[in-house]
Amino acid sequence: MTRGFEELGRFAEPSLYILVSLASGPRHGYAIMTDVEEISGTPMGPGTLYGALARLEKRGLIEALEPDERRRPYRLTALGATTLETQLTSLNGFVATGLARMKRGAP
Amino acid sequence: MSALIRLYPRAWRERYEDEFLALLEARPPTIGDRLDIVRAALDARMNPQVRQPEAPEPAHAADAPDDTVVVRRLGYAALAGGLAWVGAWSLATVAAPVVYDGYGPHRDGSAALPVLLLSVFLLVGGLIGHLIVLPASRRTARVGAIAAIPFLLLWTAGPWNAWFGLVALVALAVFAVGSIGAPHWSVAATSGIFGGIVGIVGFGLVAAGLVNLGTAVPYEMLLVITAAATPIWLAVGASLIRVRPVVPAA
Repeated sequence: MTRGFEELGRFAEPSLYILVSLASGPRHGYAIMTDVEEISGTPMGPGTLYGALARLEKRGLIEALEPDERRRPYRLTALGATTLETQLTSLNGFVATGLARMKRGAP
Repeated sequence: MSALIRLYPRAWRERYEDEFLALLEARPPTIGDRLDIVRAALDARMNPQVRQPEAPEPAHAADAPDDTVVVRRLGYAALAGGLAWVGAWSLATVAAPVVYDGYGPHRDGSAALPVLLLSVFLLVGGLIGHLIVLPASRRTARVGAIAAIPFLLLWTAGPWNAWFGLVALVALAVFAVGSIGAPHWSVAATSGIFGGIVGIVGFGLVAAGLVNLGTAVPYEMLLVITAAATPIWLAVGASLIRVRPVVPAA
């Protein structure tokens, strides 16, 4: 599901959600957290969120902006946008294949 | 909340602490969130994503809270855990009331259970202290400590499962060997861990042997053998108390 993100271990899936969340513009930690909760339907713990943010930032997929008081927004970098697009395209292919096989195998 | 944040390495705190605290203020953490933070803090120590700058620290860094205080407190807690361990077994054996039921007369040591749990929690706290103080390069020691924590807790919850105990003891041995040469560690601490492991294994072997022979294990013998495991708490605790604050270079 998150091919290419294997090295992120348990942070691979949260990282993908964070990239999706930032695809519509910069957000700070709390906004990302609530947005991811809305997208995925499950809450993301604060430790997981910042574990994933640190990894994404280290890999240059996101970058931190100037803090607004104590809240620091993050945004996708060009590399992050490309990586996200690749991931989503791959997922799209996976979903299409799955649905086609289900249709063929339907009783 | 600051206690949880201090589980993270200093470099991480310097980079993320402010915004992380702002997030936690906006959304007060549930118990699940707190566990998530502890797990992520351990991960941040095992797989640091933010590197400590090698250049001399800026002036404000000297005012940042030092891990040393937390680590030494965890050391004292582990020592207290050693006392609790001996106390628990004293309560469970020689001080427990004698009851008479279908199993014949025996001592009811159930009152000792909370103290026993406390002693293991305090030992786990000490191991977390070592995870804080051990550098990332000490992977063997860190892996040993990380493996020992869940298996000690599992073994306490289900002491009849010898596999939990075996893994916990092997993990403690790995931790002790991997810590050799670390500034706060000593040969005495390694000896203490191994002495304690021998004590616990001895307890298991004697108890199993006597049960196989159809002989009840004398309570006094139980107390002596289990007390022999106390050096584990002493080694974990005393070595943390040896940790001294890092004096910034002039």
